[in-house]
Order: sequence, then structure tokens, then C-alpha cells
Amino acid sequence: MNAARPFAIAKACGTVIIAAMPDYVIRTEGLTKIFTDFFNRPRVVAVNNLTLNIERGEVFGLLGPNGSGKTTTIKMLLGFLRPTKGAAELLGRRPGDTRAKKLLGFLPEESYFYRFLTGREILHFYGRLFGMKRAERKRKVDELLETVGLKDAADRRISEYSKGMQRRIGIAQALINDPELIIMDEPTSGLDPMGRADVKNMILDLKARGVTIMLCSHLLSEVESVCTRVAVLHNGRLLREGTLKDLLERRDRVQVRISGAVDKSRIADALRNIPAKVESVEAVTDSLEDVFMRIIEEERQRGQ
Amino acid sequence: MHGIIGIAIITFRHCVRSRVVLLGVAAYVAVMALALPLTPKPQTAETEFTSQSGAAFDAERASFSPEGYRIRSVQGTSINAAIFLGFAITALVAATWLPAQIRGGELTFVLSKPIGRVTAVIGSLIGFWLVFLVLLAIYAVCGIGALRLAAWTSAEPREAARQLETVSTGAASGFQSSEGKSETGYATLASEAHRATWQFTGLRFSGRAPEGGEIHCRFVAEIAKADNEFVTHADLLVSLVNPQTGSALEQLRINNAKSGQVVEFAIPAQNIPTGDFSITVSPAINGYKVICHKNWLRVVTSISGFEWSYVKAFALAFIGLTVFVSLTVAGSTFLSANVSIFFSIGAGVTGACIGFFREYLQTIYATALGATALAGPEGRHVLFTHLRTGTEALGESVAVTITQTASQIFSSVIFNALPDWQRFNGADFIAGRRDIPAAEFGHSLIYAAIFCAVCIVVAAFAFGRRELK
Repeated sequence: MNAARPFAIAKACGTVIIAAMPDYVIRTEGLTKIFTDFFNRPRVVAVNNLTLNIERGEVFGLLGPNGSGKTTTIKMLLGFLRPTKGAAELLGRRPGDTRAKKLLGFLPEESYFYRFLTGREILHFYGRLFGMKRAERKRKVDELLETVGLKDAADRRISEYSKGMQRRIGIAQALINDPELIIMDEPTSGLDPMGRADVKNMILDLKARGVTIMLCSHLLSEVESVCTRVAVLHNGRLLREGTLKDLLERRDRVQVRISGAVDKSRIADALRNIPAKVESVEAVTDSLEDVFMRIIEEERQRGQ
Repeated sequence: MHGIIGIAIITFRHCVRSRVVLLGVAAYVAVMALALPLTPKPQTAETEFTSQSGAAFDAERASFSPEGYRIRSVQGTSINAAIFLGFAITALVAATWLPAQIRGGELTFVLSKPIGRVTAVIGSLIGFWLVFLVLLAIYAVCGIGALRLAAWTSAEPREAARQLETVSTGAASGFQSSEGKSETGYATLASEAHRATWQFTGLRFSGRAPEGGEIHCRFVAEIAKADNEFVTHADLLVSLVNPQTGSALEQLRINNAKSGQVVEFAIPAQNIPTGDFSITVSPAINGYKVICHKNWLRVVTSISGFEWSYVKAFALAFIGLTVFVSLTVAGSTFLSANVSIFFSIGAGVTGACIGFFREYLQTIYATALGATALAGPEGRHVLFTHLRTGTEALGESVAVTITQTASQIFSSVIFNALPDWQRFNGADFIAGRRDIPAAEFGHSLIYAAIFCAVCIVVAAFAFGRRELK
């Protein structure tokens, strides 16, 4: 009820407003989750007043240290947990709506499979849940097994798979329905460097095809290389949100790149009396890891 | 629908691979293998009457025939073992299925796909129903095999095997007492020398008697010790008599027969003389007063084959298991795995006791409920509270006027809300050589359908609100 109202109002305002609004696939408004004990006394504030908007076609990175509320947010988006306050929308529908889930691919942090099934059977099972016909299912399963490099191990039981192989089959199941939105929680966890590169390429490929991706990862270099926008969570609160450029750019420094043999001691003079061609003058950027660490450190110091 | 089918298949496959289910099959085979050699093969026709107060259905079955006794024992063992194992498997597998998946994360994976939580519950239920359909089919096949083996190993050569063509079921055509006190159809037997005699006519035989073919009788008497009316059990002698010669063809001793409760016994077809026969009852020891009525010994039925009604008993057990599975799965939607197992066991034990409890309440409150005592000879010790169930089983009814008080309505609701597993136990029909009536099936089916629907609604509500942490 409560915070779902702004969405309802926006929809009620008619086509003009809706047309002017960006096409969001994920929206949260003041989303809050407080876990309580047996007597309903508040125990942990897992997510605190989170407002997020993820546009169609974005690769959005949700960052934060352990216990920052990333997984809880995902669980609320999928309808596994009920928000204590606030509202969420997934593909324009309430969390848990089967019509929204039809367009969703989900890769949780751990691979939770029926271990008595083979890789091929598990993909057929999930394909069946999407109502795919047998022939279509077979074609898609074969294609995905090829994509994730598990064609040779397709008929082995999941219980015999390594962690990396389970991750690969997890990625395959998230793609079985050609989703419009994919939520990935640590997609490269347990993968070797080759596997991580494959996943990165796959994400870039999906991005090129216009698929929206919400990515939770601790591997910041990975997020940096694929995401267009990121949000940083800590203790359930949104600390920073913006495009990578906005986040990484340092407004207090400029980077000047010069080509040609120039005495370094004269660089300052050179900028005043330029003897060589100045190729670029750019802001200095930190790595995402630097920014992330700085944000979290600042927050911790503020907390102390 | 595809979601339900998908979940049902996964549930079925999980169960098929589950050690508990495989152990259930092995345990059943082991029980049947043990039942065959361990089933007592009475050298003398003697049985112990050990039923509980007021319960007609658990009366000990007596038989003049060791063969029939053995077959019935194997039948009873097989059906009761199937029901017990079904319940145990449900408590161990169905009770933990959803909670374990929530804890393990498989369900979060599944519910991220376009299926609702209700779909997951219904799919799981259907999967379990399929498992028990297959499991009981296996049990039934094993049971029939064991029965064939029991009949084969017990069969004795018969010189004049005959087919029982017709039998006049119902009350005896004649009744008399050795004392001559048979006025108003009653006989009061006060010593070993006294006997009540029921005459039956109208039997025809031809051809070959099938294995285990027999007619089935029920008998009830009022019993009291002469010097202590609170002692209401005694040993009785039941004899099959050739009315032409007056000689006893077979004799059965029923130890510890209880007053007002039904004793069931069977007579092998080949032992009954062509034409008329008589059955006599007498106290086995002096010092007891045994009151018999003309209508209190009846030939209730005769069945020459047993497989079809045996299969029906398994079908009835399956209906009962669908109810139990639904109740268990409904409980598991809001409980943790361990608590869910206890909930399931509790529901099983409660449902097993509820029939006895209901019967007990009906008998102890018979007076309050307005049960009318049966007419009888002067000075008899009226035991109508016990007789109520007994006479109903014999086809008579005791007039009961029930005023519905609030507590009675409450108890009625409780009795219907808590399922009575005895309702689904066909072992008594089988042991009594009776076919399970279609009405019994229909009633059980309707009850199961309503109960399952209620369980699904409760499960949908509870599971819909459950947070999948």
C-alpha cells in the first residue's frame, strides 16, 4: 500500500506523464526490511529506506560489503520477503507476480539445485516451469549447454559437478527464457579466470542485446568493466548511486597527457608555455575499488 | 499447469530416489516375508479375544480353519503394514520436503520462475500422491503374492472339494436352548452343560471349493460372572454341528470373550455339511451367565475369492494417505522441518486414536445420549452401552435420541476436523470376509476431497505469507 502509491499515481496521470518517464524495469521507493524476533521485536534493519530506479538496458551494479542488504533487496524484489515499509516494482508489476517472473532470469549467490538431477535435466525442469514446449526446450537446452561449456558434462548429476560447473549451469538456467531482466548475485563466484572472462563477455553480449542486468558482486574490477551505473549499500542504506563516470571522476584533479620528449621538470612551465601538443586534459579517475573503499571507510568513520 | 506438473515430477523423482521410500518397500517385503512363517498356524481352533471396550471393529477374528486364519492374518498384516509404512514415509519425507527446500535454497530458485507458491504446494502434493499410488500398488502386488503363498503352503488335500453356490445370510432359521428357556428369543446359559443352538438352512454346494472359501459369522453375547457382575468376560465354546447326527464337526474355543462385543469367526466351506447346519455356543467354564439372543449370531457373508476386495482395501488406504499427506504438507508450509515431522506424527497418532476415542465417548455416554436398552429376559444385567456397537454390527440398531448441545456440536466439529484413519482401514472388511461397499468408498472419497481442499487452502494461505529467508 503505502509507498506503492507514487507509482500508481504516475500511472493514473495518463500517457503524457508515462511517456515522459524513463522505462524502469526495477523501482524501489523507500524500501525497508526490518527482521524481527519471535516476539516481533525489531532485531536487524537489513534494508533502510532504499530508493532505486534501474532503467531498461542498463547494467546496474549493486555493491556493498557483506551484510549490507544486497541479497535482502533482491529477495524483496523477487517476492521472497515482504518489505516492512516501502514498495518495489519488478518489470512494472509487484514482486512475486508470475507475469514479471516470466521475463526474469535469476542467478542466486549459491547454486541451489536438485542434486539428483543431471545438468540437462535441471535445465529441462526450469524450461518446463516457463511452459516451454519439449522441442523448444530441447533446442534451448542444447544451445545453453554449448554456451556455458557443459555439453560434455550435461548428463552427469549435479552432485558430481564442481562449484564452477554448478555456477555455469546456474548461468544457463538464468538464460533459459531469454529474459528481459537478469538479476545476478555474484555470477563469477567459484569460476576460474577463463570462466570469469566468459561471464564478463556474456554480460557485455547481453548488454548489447538490450537486456537489463542487475549485478551484485564483490569483484569490483568486474563491475567496473561491465556496469553503466552502480549503487553502494552499507548497513542497508544507500550511500552513493550514479554512473561509473560520476563516481570515479575526481573533481579536484586533472590529468594532462603529453606526447613527445619533454623534461618532466618543465611540465608546469609547459602548460603555461606549451612547447608540445597537449593531447588531452582529463579528470583523474580512481579505480572503482578505491572509490568503494573510500566510501565505506568514510561511512565507518562517521559511524564512530 | 506446467508448473504443477514440473513440481510433481520433481517431487516424485525425489521420493523415488529417497532412501526412506526405498527402505519402506524393503520393510514391507521384510514384514510379509516374516508374516508368512511367523503367522501362527493353530493346531487347535482356539483364539484369544482381546478387543478394547466398545469397539466392534477390532474384535479378534476366530476361525475353525487354520488355513483361513493364516490367510486372514497375512491379509491383516499386509494392509496394516502398508498403512503404517505409508504414514511413516509421509512423516519422514513429505513433512520435510518444503521446509528442507526453503532451507536449502532450491525453492527460492524454483519460485524465481513464473510459478506461484500455491502451484509449488499443489505440485508437491500431486507428486506425493503419485508416489503413494505406486507404492501401494507395489505393496498390493507383494501382498497378493504373499497371500497366494500362504494359501499354497496352508492348503490341505481335500477329498470332496466343493463350490459354495449360495448361502442364506442373516439370522438363523431356528433357535433353541438346551435349558429350554428360549422365550422371546433369548437363552440364558448358566453352566457348561447349557447351550444355545442356531439352525441355518439353505446352503448348496457343487464343484470345487476355492482356497480359503468360507462363510463368515458374527456373534455377540452378554456375559457376567454369576457372583460378580462386574466381571464381564468369559471363555466360550462355539461348535459347528451336523443337525442330522447332532455331532460336533468343528469346535472353536474363544478365550476371554467380552460381554457385548462382536466375535467374528469363519467356517471353511468344505467343513459345512450340505444342506442345514447348526452352531452352538456354551460357556467353557461354570460360574458365568451368558445371555444369547436368536438374532445375535448371524451369517453375514460368504466370499470365495479375496483379491478384489483386497485391492479395494489398498485403494481405501491410498485415499487415507492422500488425506494424511495433505495434512502433513499443509503443516510443513508454516513449520520448520523438524517441527513438521512432529506435527505429522502427532496428526497420525491423533487420527489413529480418534476412532477409538469417538467409540469410547459414544459408549460411555450412551445413557446420556438416550440409548434405549434392548428388551430381554427378566433380571438380566443390561449392558447396552457395550451392546450398542455390537448390535449395530449385527444389523440391529439401538434407538438413540441425541440432543445437540453446544459441547456435542463442538465435539462433532472436532471429530470431523481431526481425520479418523480407521475410516480408511479396510483390513476389518477383509478380515471379516466382507466386500468394501461402494458407499464406504464414496464417503471416504468425498471426505478426502473436502479435507484435501481445506488443507490446500490453509497451505496456500500459510505458505503465501511465509518469508523465504
